Amino acid sequence: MNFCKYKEIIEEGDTVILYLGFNNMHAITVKKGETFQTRYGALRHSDLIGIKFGGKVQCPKGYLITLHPTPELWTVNLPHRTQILYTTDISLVTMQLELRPGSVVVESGTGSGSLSHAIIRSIMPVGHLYTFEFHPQRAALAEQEFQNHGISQYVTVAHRDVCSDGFGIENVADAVFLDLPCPWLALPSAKKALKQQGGRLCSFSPCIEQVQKTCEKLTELDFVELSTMECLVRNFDIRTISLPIADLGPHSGEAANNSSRQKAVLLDIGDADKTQNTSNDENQMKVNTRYHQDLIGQKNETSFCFKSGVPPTQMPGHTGFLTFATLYPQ
Amino acid sequence: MCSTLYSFTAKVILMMESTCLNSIKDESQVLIKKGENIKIFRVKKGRDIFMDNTKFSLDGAIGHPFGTTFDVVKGTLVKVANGSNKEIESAGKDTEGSQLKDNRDLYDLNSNQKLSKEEIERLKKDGVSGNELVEHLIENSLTFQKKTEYSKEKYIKKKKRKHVLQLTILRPTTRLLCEMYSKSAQKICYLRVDTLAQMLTYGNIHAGITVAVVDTCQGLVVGAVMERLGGFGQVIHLYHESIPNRTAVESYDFPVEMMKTLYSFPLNQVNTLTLKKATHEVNNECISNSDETIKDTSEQMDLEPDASRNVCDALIVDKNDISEKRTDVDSDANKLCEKSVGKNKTEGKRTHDESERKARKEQRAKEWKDARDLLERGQLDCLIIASKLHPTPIVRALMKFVAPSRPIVVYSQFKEALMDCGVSLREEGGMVNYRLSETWLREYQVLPQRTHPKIQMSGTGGYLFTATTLAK
Repeated sequence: MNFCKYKEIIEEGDTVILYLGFNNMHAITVKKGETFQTRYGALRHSDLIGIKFGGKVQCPKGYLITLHPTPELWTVNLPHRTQILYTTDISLVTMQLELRPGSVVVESGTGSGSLSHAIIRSIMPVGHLYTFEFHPQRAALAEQEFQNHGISQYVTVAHRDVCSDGFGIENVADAVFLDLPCPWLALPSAKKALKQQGGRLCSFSPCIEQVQKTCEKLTELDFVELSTMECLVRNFDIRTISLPIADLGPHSGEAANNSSRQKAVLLDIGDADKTQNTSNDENQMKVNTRYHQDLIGQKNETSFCFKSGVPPTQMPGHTGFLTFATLYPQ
Repeated sequence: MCSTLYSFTAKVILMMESTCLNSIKDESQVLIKKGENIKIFRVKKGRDIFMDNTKFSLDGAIGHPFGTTFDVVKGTLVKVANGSNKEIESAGKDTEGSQLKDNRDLYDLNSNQKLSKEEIERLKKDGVSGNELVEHLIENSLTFQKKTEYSKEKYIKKKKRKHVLQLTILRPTTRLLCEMYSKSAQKICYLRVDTLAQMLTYGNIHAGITVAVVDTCQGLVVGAVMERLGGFGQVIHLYHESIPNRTAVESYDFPVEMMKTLYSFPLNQVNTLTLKKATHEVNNECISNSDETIKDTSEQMDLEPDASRNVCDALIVDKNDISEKRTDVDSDANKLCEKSVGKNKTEGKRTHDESERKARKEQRAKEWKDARDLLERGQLDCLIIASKLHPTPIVRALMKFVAPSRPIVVYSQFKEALMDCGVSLREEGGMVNYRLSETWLREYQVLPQRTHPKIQMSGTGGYLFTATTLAK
């Protein structure tokens, strides 16, 4: 299969994302004769062959869903060989480096290939990724993975230490991405790797000291439009919340259902419905009843119920600072 | 998609990349960046533009590569000599030990500057350059030498921003257009660059797919999707007014070949769409029907360049003049109109208006038919909604046309609209992997000894809801 091209039916050799439930997914490569153990029982790989992507597969104790691989699903299911970049940062990098079909990108280090897959998806079929990794085993694994995923024609993996030996290529890239402990050492070579018409550069660093050194070097090398930022994602859990109405003593229930309080609720929600704020009491009653049944919130004597997007108690925090810069034609 | 088609389109794209898109041309769209101010203009020989209360011509930019910085000198653009900016910055460097300076004895008084407003104006009239003027201001400042090195740098930067009329001309790209639109965010439903970035990535937007976009953000999302498709694949813009508003798409200056991948369909006809059972049924219909329109459509599905949508080069130049205030639909209609006007020259002006209206109507009907055929196949690879309209009914109406195991991405300025969408879709079933999220973006000032998050910060970039479809 080509990881970065949609297909309809699962075949042997395909990568499939098995979806068992929220935050419960696994990536497998379909191979006849193999089995995958799930909490619903054993899943024979051969049972997947012929199924549509997006279809259900029955297991002894339940069913699971097969999803088509995407770089995003791959990122959360890939085998970690290093700390990886997650989709929040990947999205911003793709945007800020102006990646599009035909872009030529230079990346170092390859790591676990999370960003690499996303880059390839954005630049294919007429672009190319040159990715550099100084760890020989990781470089070999990445190369193998790209081959298994049918995208090796869009990428060249090189086992090389770009900080000491440079990239070894000149005037080819529209964009350079660096995820290195000492990115400033690779900057002079990165500048040469960029096309003569110029291009974009991104350096990802967890520590502010690294960012400072990188920015100083970028300015020295005539890069402009320096911009350092960080991007965090916050997920919300849509839940129905029921807040108990307090017992405030006699006539508590009345306070909750008092028409004047409902008028206040009306004004909060009904900004768009100014025409309905008439002095006609009957109209008011009808409208009150409707808002009382609203999807967002409703009240009875004992509780106030509403749907809320509840933020989690813990959220993904700092991953790294993203520093972007432009090199204009010299 | 067959490999021969890829190689044909690839050649077209690469040819354009190498020859057309690197230098500023007459009639091209450019982004002009002056300090924090960034605006889009179309270069027109002999015509002046207004920016920051200054009137000047863009002729001096023609032929230079994108990214060149210019000085505005007497209403024209003059390329800035390399390194001239670094001279003025050295004035800020301290020669003696200055680490112990602070501002305890510095008072903020107008009299600190010896040059009067009139004298400054006179210097400007005499043709003194911006950089020279800043040097004069430094010389005549009573407090400058007493400032710390960092304070001097800040002072110079501030004076330069005011007096040095320097601008950079950039090629329009999504990230720069987002920067431009962020100054008038209500036009794009307060969509922020990182949110749009998430949408394109979670939507798995890539070459060769078919995307339906409901966009009331002046076409910024449509344009961004087109940029990521690179001419491979199709985009259907679903719009809710009488004419699609796609000002942002014009800004990209997409080549004609790429504009052919853009289809339009009115939202108020969505309920008339019916899902065709199987792809082979659709093809059979196309083959049996001898109507030329449908034949053209089936050719489009195979992504061959459609002869009927072809625009000859002679008309492209005219298009730029006419289409500035119009959308693609109207500009295409105008091309047809020009053809028909040529034929009807002898029939008089009375029939001119009638034939213009008729031609426009016919063109629109054809475009709608093409989009309808594409939607009714039920093979959309992505549905993106970014509008001020309530998303839930739109998603429910369009989700049946999305293929299985594909992303649906819904943007809203308001979390509650997406909560409603999420709950509604959960009830209906047919999707997994729901996610409601927002991203937080913070920029940093990075300078030696002066690194900190920036003082100004975006308050919101809107919210996103994503889900993946299942097989029916």
